[in-house]
Amino acid sequence: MWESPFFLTMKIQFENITKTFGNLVANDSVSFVIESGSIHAVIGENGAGKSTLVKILAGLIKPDSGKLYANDQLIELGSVRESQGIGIGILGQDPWDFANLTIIESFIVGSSKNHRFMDYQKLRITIREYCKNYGLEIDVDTQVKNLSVGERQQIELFRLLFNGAKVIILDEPTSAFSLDQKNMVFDTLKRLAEDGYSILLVSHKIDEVLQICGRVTVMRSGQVVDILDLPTSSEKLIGLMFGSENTTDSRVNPTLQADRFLKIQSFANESDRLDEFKDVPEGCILGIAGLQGSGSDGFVKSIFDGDAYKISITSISDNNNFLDDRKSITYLPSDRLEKGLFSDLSVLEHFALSQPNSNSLIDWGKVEKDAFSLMTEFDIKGQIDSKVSHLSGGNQQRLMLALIDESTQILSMAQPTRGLDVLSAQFVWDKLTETKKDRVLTVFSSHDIDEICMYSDYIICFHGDDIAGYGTNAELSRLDIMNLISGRFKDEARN
Amino acid sequence: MKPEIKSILANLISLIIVFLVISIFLILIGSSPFEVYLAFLDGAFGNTDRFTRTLLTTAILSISAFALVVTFTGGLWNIGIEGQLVAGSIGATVIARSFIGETVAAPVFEILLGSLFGSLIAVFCGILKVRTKVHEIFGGLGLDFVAAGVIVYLVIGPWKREGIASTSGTDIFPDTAWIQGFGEYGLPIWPIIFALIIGASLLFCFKRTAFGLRLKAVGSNPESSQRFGIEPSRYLLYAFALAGAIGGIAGVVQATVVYHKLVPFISGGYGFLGILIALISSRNVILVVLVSTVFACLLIGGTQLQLKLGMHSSLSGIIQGLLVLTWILIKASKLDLKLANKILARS
Repeated sequence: MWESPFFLTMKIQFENITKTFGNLVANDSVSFVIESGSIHAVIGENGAGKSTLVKILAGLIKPDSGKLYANDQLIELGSVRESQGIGIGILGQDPWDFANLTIIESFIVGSSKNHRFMDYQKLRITIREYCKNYGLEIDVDTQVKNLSVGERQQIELFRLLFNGAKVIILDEPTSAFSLDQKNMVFDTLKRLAEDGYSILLVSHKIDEVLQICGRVTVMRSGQVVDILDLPTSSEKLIGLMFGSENTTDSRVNPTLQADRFLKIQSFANESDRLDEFKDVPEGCILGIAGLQGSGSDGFVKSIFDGDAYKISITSISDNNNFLDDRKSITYLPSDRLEKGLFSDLSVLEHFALSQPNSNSLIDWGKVEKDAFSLMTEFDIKGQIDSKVSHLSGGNQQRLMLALIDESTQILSMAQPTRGLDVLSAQFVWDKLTETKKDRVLTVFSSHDIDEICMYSDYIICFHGDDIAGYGTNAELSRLDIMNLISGRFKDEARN
Repeated sequence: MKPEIKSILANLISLIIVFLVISIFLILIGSSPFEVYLAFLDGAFGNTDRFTRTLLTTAILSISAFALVVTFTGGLWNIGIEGQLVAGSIGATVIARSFIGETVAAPVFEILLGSLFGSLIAVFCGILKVRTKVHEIFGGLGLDFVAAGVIVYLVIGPWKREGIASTSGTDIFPDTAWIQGFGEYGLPIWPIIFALIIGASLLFCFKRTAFGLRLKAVGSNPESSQRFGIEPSRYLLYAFALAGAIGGIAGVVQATVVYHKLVPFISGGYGFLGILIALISSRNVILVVLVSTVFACLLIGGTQLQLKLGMHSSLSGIIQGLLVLTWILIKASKLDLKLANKILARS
């Protein structure tokens, strides 16, 4: 039951791990070592290859080449069983537990030990021992749903230990934490490291990494850029993470001459915070920058449904709120098939649905004619009567663009190029920049800073759920944006 | 052209497999599949009376399944269909027992009030879903029980026969309140016409109208519908209203054509059977009619099993169950499509 911590050593070594998905090199001969009893961080932008690496360690993905060692012994790659066998456990972003069970029951359900009859009393003592050892004061017979997220994550940690985990991977674990909860979990992690467990923290939050990690591997575009001992300066980490040689802008910034301006107000329901932007030019593209899990996508969606933020977009000259007229707003969600289109309907049926004046009978001949011309204009490849779920991601996105009604004044898009190849993404941006003058405002959110810099006329940066800074494209450098979305130097960049 | 051939072929293959499975079952219980099928055919079509009853049952099952085609298209599980049938039959009885029942206009008003009652009880289920987030399965099932209670109360209470309070039903409706059959054997011409009109209207609605397409969109993805300016809850209520009205008409036919009075178990379970038919037909209006015919044969033909072969008529129920299960298993495993692909690849 109780693993004696004194003999615990667990060193993990990655050696030239390479994994490609099609043309994308997710991990490019990645090599580094996680020493026994250390907290090791892997940091990098979205898409740097962190998740792929974690999945390889967990045995969920088999790399194309490379080796993995645990305590200098070669591990079979791509086998979940093998990875679990040597004691690798993942703590996910959200607690994977069972809200209606008590803590003890959740241990039994999640146990990999195949006991036919569980000894509740023995288990109760074991769990209490974990709690006592790592300073968590809870009643083990309480239901999991009565615990805070932080407590649940700690229980999850104990459950991993109980099931024999010796290496614990934390994949962006703190997005849902309060500060207290975060500190609590971090204390536990430090204690675990002292006891000889190895901990791998995957994050893009530099503060957290600096707070608890001893060593950090910085990844960019699938490669290990550097491996550093901590502490070091956060500026240095940010530079490495986003590519310091790359911080000079490569933007083809559209110099926007506007004579009319918009006032945008945003009230965050959660935090009671009001932000106001008075100088957003009409007819511009507004980029909402933010890392994964930040409020940027919620902001863009709120323009359409007012859910997380109460937003108003008013014309300075006549005080007219454009969001009052719901018909003039078009929202393109990032999960196209789940929230944007109808997977069992055909391309043609989508065109018929988007016709504004079809209240009675459908003139299929006319719909088909219009659809063909739009499909040519937007370069949608696919049969007109095939189901939308059979189209590629790029074609689905082009269809969404083709379906935008001409009367749209405000276009808001979440991650408009998510999952698209370079050519499809280019097509999307060409179309959007070409037509932006026809609309009052084009808003998009993106995790990709280059995309934000390239195409936005005005930029709002989110750190967490709050707006960390804003300005015109000329006012904010690439480095400023990086700083703001990583939660640094807020004041320096604020106008 | 090719996808249609493939789907017809796939359905044909499914049918053959289903009959094989049922035949194996019949052999296992020690009877001859051939004799059993013959008995079913004889029971369903053997003489004019049986043929008439099979036709009538086909019409009622089709109407009931059409109601479910509407709700399934909107992504709804209309378990409340039994209650809608009952409400329809109550509506017809209200007219039949009133002064209108004595006039020639009775059938028209019976249908109007019956479909209104069916529609109202269905919309109530819809409001529970849209406004108070009660899932339509729970709301519908609850209302089924309410309807079943109300009809028993009416039959043994306010509408009881003179001097007798029995669950055997109300007084027989006056002749004018019957929806009459045609000719000597009472060929159920009107129920067939109702089924044809409703079926054709649904075909038109789903193929040509914006309403049909929007309902389909809401059923496919309510969240995306909002982006297209379609308010899902409104269309769900429309679907309930329409399905309830159609289900109500099935109830009117049960009361005015089959029983000529109100009996407690007036729905005959045809509502629930309609759910199965709509599912098996994958919401295809034409297939609904074909599948309804098969089920009508099983229901009506089953009575001959006992007389001819000395087998209990509940065997008919077992065969229906086997049919549905095998069909669903074939469709879920895509066995029919795989076989159809093989055959098409060879030719």
